[in-house]
Amino acid sequence: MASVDVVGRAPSNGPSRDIRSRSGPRIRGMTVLWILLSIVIGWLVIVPIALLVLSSFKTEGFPTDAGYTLRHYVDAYTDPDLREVLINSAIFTIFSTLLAVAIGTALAWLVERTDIPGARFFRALIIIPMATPPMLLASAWAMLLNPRVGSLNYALMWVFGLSEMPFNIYSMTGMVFVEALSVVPTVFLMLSHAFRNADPSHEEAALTSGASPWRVFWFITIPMMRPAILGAVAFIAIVCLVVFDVPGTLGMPSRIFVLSTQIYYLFGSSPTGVPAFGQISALGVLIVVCLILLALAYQSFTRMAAQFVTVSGKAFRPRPYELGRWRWFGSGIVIAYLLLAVVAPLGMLVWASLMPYLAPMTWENLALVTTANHAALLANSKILSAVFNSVVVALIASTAVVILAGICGWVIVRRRTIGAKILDILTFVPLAIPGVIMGIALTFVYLSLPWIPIYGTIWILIVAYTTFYLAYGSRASQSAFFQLHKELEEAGEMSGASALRTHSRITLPLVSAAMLGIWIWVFAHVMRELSMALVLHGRYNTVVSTLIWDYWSGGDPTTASAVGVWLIIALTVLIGATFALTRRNVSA
Amino acid sequence: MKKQISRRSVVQGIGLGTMGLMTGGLAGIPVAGAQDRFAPLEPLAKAAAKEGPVVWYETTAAELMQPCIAVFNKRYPNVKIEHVRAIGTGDMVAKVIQESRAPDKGGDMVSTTADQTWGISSRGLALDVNWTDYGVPANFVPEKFAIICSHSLFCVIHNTSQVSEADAPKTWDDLTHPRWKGKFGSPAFSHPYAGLVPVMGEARVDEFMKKLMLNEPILTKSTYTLAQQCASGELLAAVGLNWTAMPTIQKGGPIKIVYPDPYPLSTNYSLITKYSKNVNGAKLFAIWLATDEGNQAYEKATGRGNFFLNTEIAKVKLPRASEYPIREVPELAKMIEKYNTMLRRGGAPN
Repeated sequence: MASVDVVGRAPSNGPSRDIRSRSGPRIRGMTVLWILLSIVIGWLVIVPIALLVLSSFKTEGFPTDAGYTLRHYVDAYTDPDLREVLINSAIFTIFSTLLAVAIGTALAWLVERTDIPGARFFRALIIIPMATPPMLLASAWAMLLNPRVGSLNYALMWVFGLSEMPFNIYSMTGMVFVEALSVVPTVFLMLSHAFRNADPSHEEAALTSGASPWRVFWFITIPMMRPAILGAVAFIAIVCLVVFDVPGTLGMPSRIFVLSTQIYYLFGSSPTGVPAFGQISALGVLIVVCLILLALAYQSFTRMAAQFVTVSGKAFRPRPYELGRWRWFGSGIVIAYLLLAVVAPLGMLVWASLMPYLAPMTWENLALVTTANHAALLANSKILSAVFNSVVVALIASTAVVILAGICGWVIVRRRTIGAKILDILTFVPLAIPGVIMGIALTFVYLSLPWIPIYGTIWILIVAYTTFYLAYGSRASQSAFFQLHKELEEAGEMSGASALRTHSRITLPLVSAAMLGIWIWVFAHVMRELSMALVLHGRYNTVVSTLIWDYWSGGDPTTASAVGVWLIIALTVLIGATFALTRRNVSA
Repeated sequence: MKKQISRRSVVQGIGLGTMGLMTGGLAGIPVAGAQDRFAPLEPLAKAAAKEGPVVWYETTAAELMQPCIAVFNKRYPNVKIEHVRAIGTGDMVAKVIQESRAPDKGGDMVSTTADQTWGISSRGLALDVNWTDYGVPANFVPEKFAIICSHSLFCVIHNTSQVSEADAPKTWDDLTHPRWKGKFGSPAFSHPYAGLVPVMGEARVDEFMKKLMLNEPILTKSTYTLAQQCASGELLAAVGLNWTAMPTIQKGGPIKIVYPDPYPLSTNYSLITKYSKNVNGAKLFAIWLATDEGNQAYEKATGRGNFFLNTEIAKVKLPRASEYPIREVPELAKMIEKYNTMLRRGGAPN
């Protein structure tokens, strides 16, 4: 199929003269596209952001309050605990991001660019943790490594003859470790496409010149992947900054507060009984500012994006590195990750799902094993509608994100104008809006618009998820488009093909794997998302994640674990089937 | 300080159950006979049948609440109740405030804690109702906007397989013993400790909290989780809530509930939103929940019963209860704020 070229020269950013001379209808098409994008993105993104900012200045923190105040900023930013919260947030964010990106990059390189045994199998397995609701993942690790009866701690004591439990998961190290494990699949998905499509000619040239594989990896491969890696860093940093489940489960018990737990604290522990929405919004604005700075930094890093183009008009055949005897070591690294990220927590969840109450994994407790929790699921009259709702919401939201992110990604990469840069930032900022604020904003918007009767239905969830996950979609699609040389599209147009035909026959097939990756990622994350689902929960939109919450918060974590186990199994089957199907199509 | 305490209505828990049995009789509604009990509600039932479904905000999982609604519908088949689970803390107040400002309103009725009830009523969003006109005893109606639905009891739980009966903490001061350092849990919110102030006094609770913090309690978001952590042995003891510990006990978890003297009490109220479109249905349902029949069904679904009725909780022998009355929620809020800060910092509030 496609295409290769050594990317020695930098292509121009603007359209070539030949194309420009025939670009009348195209410009009109672009204008229509801009107008449509402005309306959709404006509605999805600007409305909640505007409400977030507005709320931060309103007396009680509701957008509809009368009057304005700066009190929430004063309260939030003069809080004597804030300094510690910010330091903790920075430590948690930086180390989780570095660890996750390091592991994810290594895994993507091993699976996509080397000849390690079982690479195809690993490709599907690595992203399984994505299917695990973070609340259950964190709880599973709490059961494994808590300092009193952690099952893995027990096992390590027994194996190494230790006198006390070696690990305490309720610590900053524990939080970083679990968070990194949970976001590695995202890094992997963001980078694997880039590694797969990277032109190997530079690396081959370096190897031929006598460079060691390590030197080639460090000085050729990594720089070539810079836009994708920086994109992953920016995205993961924000995810880690706003994530609640892991710091909430593992940090709060030992009083390690980060920004997200501070927001939870203001939401849930308000002495007046009313969440401190004003302060939450004021902190939300800080997160938005951090995110915009990150996005600007990312833009400046990728300003010379052309040098990263790796798929162009000439064919190449990606050839994996031959690691020789190290190939088994490479597989060992992937297996070690899978043991930590999949086998251990999933095993703990399976164990919990077979217990009547949370009980450590011991021989004595085997006597307690019961299938009652799994049977309880079948008896739950809401299970079918919850599964149906979840699947419908996930299908529509993930498809909508792929379409919007695909268009936005293309526009941002190809049209490097001020408008495109603003669009880039706009598609990124929803990630910074705390789920509860997004929920409140959407509640207000759709209660105010009775002619759009989606409040309390699955459609409000679809709107919320499409907005929130557009950030990931846009970032991932940009990585894919960065790698495509513009001359591919120009060649199509020069041959007389319409823009639609050019994109459907040339651009789309080349980015289809990346788009599929985005679709899977969004689908899995929608299936497990909780915070927005809870705030937007109404009479007709119970989904699987709220069902898990129902059990968990209703004192039945073991049945919640059973739901989690089946959710993970279902998503694993889906991911596996999708990969198998894709591979078959690619082969065909 | 003493004066301040005496001003508050300190609920005497020992007397409550018996008082409920004696004053309210075996039902919130007059005791003459089953039919008479519900007779004052007939006009409401007729009017409610012509209205839409009552949208009810409450914190229990919807699935668990269905049997309770089924009992209601057995008596009033023409009045539909749509239970919507709120995620708890603050969510209901937020929902009610938001909905009140939008053209298309939502919930009709809310059942929640005193601080949430106050949060709604102080914004003028709760409907005043002459509940006694429908035969509801006056002691069920501390304010016109609220009718007592149930009671929650803060308690201490301990693991029975790792802690002997003799060693188990039985008083609040027991929890300050160094033997519990790092081995006991607390909710991340300070409501149980603030609730002690009416009986113990602010100074004594301050002192107790300082000592408690030296033992570095492990904070958890949910009292359900604390009960499970106690059962697993991860914690040896914890401050919890009676009804959130019950599911673990019912599943065979090795934990036991102890009510120290005094125990903090939290009364839950039902209220009707001012913008409710189905006022009659909401009134009917709120009153029905305050009858033996309704409250037993509610207690079965949630674990929370009403002391004044013939419920399981009314049969438990209890020491003194300590609670701020609903009018003093602002005072309660100050205490919660102070002790929240202590819990979070693991020490002094300033």
